[in-house]
Amino acid sequence: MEFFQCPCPKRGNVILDGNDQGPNKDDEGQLLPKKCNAGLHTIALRCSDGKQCSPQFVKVEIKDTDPISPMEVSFQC
Amino acid sequence: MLDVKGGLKLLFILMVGICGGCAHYPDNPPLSAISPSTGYRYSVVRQQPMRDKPFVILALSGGGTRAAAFSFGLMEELAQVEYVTQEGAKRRLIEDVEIVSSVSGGSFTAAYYALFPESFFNDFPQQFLYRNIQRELFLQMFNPYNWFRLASPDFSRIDMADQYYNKTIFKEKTFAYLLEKPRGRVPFLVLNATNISTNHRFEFTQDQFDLLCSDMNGITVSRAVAASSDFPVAFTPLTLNNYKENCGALPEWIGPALVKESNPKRRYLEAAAAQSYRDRDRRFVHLLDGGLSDNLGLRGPFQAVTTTDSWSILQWANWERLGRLMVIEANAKTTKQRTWDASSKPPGLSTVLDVITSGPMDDVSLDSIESTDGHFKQMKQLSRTVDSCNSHFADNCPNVRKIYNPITTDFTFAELTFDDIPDLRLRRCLQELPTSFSLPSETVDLLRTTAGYLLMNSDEFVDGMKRLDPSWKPRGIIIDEELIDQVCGRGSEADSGGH
Repeated sequence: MEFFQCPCPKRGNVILDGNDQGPNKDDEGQLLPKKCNAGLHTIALRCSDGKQCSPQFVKVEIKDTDPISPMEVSFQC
Repeated sequence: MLDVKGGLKLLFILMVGICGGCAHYPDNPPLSAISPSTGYRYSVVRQQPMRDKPFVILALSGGGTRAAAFSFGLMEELAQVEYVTQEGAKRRLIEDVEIVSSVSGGSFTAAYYALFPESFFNDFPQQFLYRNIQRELFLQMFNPYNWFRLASPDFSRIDMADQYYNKTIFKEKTFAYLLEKPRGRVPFLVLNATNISTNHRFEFTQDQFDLLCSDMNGITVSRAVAASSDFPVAFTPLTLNNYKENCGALPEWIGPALVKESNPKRRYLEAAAAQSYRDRDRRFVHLLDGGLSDNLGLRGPFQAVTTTDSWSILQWANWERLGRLMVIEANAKTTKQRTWDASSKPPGLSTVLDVITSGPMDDVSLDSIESTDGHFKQMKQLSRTVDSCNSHFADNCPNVRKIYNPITTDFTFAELTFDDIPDLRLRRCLQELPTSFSLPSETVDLLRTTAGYLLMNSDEFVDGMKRLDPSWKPRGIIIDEELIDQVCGRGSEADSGGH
């Protein structure tokens, strides 16, 4: 099992390979790490206020992570 | 010169011949456009999971009527398992079954439950378990009409079996009928077969049929069960049409997963197998028994729990909607006592064939069990590591921010297998049962009771239930000695232990 999180100044939903994995952070701003299988994935962040996040998507190989230090895939909204 | 009687006879034979020559397997319909919100998919059949409810997955193994009766016994017992919810209400665990994934013999039980949940416990035993299906299938071969139909290159023994199951057991219901049921009323049914070209698991879900550009709504449930229980040699492979054009792109996970150097081997192979349905020359798909790729019905759920590819349960864990995951495997595998090593004479052809068909299957099954169990244990360990870290911080570095623990699911994996029966005589007796579509009614009764007994005596299941409801206690089940005597014969005292 691999772990990643998507820091962004704003709140949004994490889209992994086209599927919504839920919000990137909770109401208090705590980042919520996501779980996925190892390998190459396409990750995007869908901004809650409808704005386009940048970059539009990221292709990243997720491997060798753990729940204490998830991989960071950053976005700007 | 032919007389009138002779002429009529000839005409009849000609007509039957013409009809038979035209015989064709039922075409699976094409799909014009892929739509994730329609078709027989988990997200369409079930509501979004609720964190406070257990998410129960049943995996029902292959093994003919033996497996069907054993899985039925498991479901009978689950219907009696009642727990107290956090709100103080009583609830039956069977209502929390989200997914039933099955293979071969187990597929008859799974499909009947999904189609007719209200009458399942009353009707299924007479409709299938106590019926001599093997004999009835065999008699079909003596119907002259079938001789002509079987002469057609597009109609084979498995299509004949499919028609028989369709009319006599599954009442001609299609997957569209399953979709008509209120959302969340019945579990998501995953009937597994094997694609013999790719040697990969083939599941009867719309996600799989998207790859073929085919619409599952028009397919009968019996056809899926026939494919799932399409035992090699006894039956011929079952054929599906592969339309593959113009229904839409492949799912998004496949592209990245096809980059060989950036993916684990299994993910790459899964993606390559999925993509191959769109190959130019692949116009048909040939299926055999699901047991050839996974005789437990566990691989699909395992993939859904451990990956975000295809339909995914892990997705709901990311949404923090998966508070409690319970996987129960009804494994009706047998373990034959071999005596040939007592002699220098090698075993005969039928014995060797039995070893060839069951040996590798059992080994793959053991791997699947260990993978699932190992994964759950690993997740628990990772979760404990985060908690230990936080507790260490709290004691020694109180100003350090707490690490968020992303593993918020309680995992239970219980395998029910004859190997765990303490009574030696009963264990050996069930381990020696044949794989067929006909068993004496006492044997069916014994298998049903044994499944309940094993569930109530499974440490993993009992522990999981106690975490769900600390007041819950397993029901005491005593297997009737007379029934054991009837099925297994009277044994010596040394053969039996307490049960």
